[in-house]
Amino acid sequence: MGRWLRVLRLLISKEFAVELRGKEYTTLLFCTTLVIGALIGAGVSSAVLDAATTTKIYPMLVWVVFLITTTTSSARASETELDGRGFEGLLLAGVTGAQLYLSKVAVTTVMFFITWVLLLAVTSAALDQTLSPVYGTLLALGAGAALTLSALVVLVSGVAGTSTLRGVLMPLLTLPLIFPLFFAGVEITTECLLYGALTEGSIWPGVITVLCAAFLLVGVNSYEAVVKG
Amino acid sequence: MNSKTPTIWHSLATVVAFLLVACAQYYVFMVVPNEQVMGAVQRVFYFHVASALACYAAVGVVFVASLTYLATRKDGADLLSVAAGEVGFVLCTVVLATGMIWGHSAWNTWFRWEEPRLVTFLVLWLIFLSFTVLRNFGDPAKTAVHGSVLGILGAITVPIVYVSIKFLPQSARLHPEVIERGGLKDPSYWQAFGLSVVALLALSAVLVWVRYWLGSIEYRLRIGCDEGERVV
Repeated sequence: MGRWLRVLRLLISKEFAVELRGKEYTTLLFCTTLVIGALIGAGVSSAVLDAATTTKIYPMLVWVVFLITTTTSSARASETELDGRGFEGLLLAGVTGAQLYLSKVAVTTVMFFITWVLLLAVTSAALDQTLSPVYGTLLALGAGAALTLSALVVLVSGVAGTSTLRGVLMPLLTLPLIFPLFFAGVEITTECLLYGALTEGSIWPGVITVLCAAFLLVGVNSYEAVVKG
Repeated sequence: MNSKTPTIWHSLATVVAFLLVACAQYYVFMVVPNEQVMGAVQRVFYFHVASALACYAAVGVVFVASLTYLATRKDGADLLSVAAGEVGFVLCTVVLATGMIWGHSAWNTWFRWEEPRLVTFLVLWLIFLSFTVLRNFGDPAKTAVHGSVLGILGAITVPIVYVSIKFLPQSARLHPEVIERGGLKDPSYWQAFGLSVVALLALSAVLVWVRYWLGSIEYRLRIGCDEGERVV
């Protein structure tokens, strides 16, 4: 078990090093978030909505931007290894599919979480929303959502990465599967903004947990098959 | 299943399925009386619910066939998964179309986002659509594995979608719960409903078999098998 975790830690370090060297994925993710966040802000302000209406639609807007930017930007998540046959090399060296998958999920979760924080900052400023009283809850929600989303995105990027339609296929395969995350995210954000906290006994954190567990379970058990074919 | 030329039993099963559909249509349009509130539009219920049940069955077949393919790598399981996925997509389209026809008559709107079953079927339709697109545009060397993983992900997401929409606060539960509330008082309603369900299930099974058979022919052409050689 100790060796297994040591290999996983090394893989996570490698993933971070590769990403920090190239910065392509980071640049794409953050720039798309900023551009779409700014566009949404400009669009909503042009509609001259009152403050209460803007607060009502804010959770939906934030989640639409978050899910679209992360899924469209993630077509390249496994590209380096798929193009350079890096997966075969790692698997031949004794690394398991589960370790590969979990290392990619860890790095993608961090990237998505930073994207979430950036998005909250941009959209709250653009749409004049006060998030400071509920920032802790929204950050915890972002962490859970980032893990759930990356558990799916890493698996699907392995599927879409070798397709001729890779850029288009990624959101097409991912978005229908994350509807429960979208509903849960919007409901939790709305509860936070309208009532100042998450309602006691809310089932939505449970929905995210179940979805995350299901995606991780499928990913850990099938990622090796996905990359090997 | 066998990839050989269809036998007399296959042809017989096809004829029986089409006869059942014809009987169901006769019952629905000629025997069953008009429903008091909805009138003639209520007749869409028989095809709507029967298609929905057949669609759920298709999801189940995709799930089991995908798991079997990943575990055994038998090409027959992959062909079955493709066939059930494509037939499921058609059935799901029928459910959405008939649901919208009914909804426009009952609610004066084509679609209600508050309604769990409608949204579940829309998501299911999108999942079947992505499954079909992947099968056509995926990496040919890996499509079988990738399609199986997507089939499993789709099948486990559908119940979570259904449950999550049920908990949405604005959910008005507009969908009629005919069976749950002991509706269909007239015996002819039950006969037509039962016949429609059996007919649609039989027709779906035949369509899945035909698609499986076509898939096995494509497969043999691709790998250059002799005519009559078994795929599985």
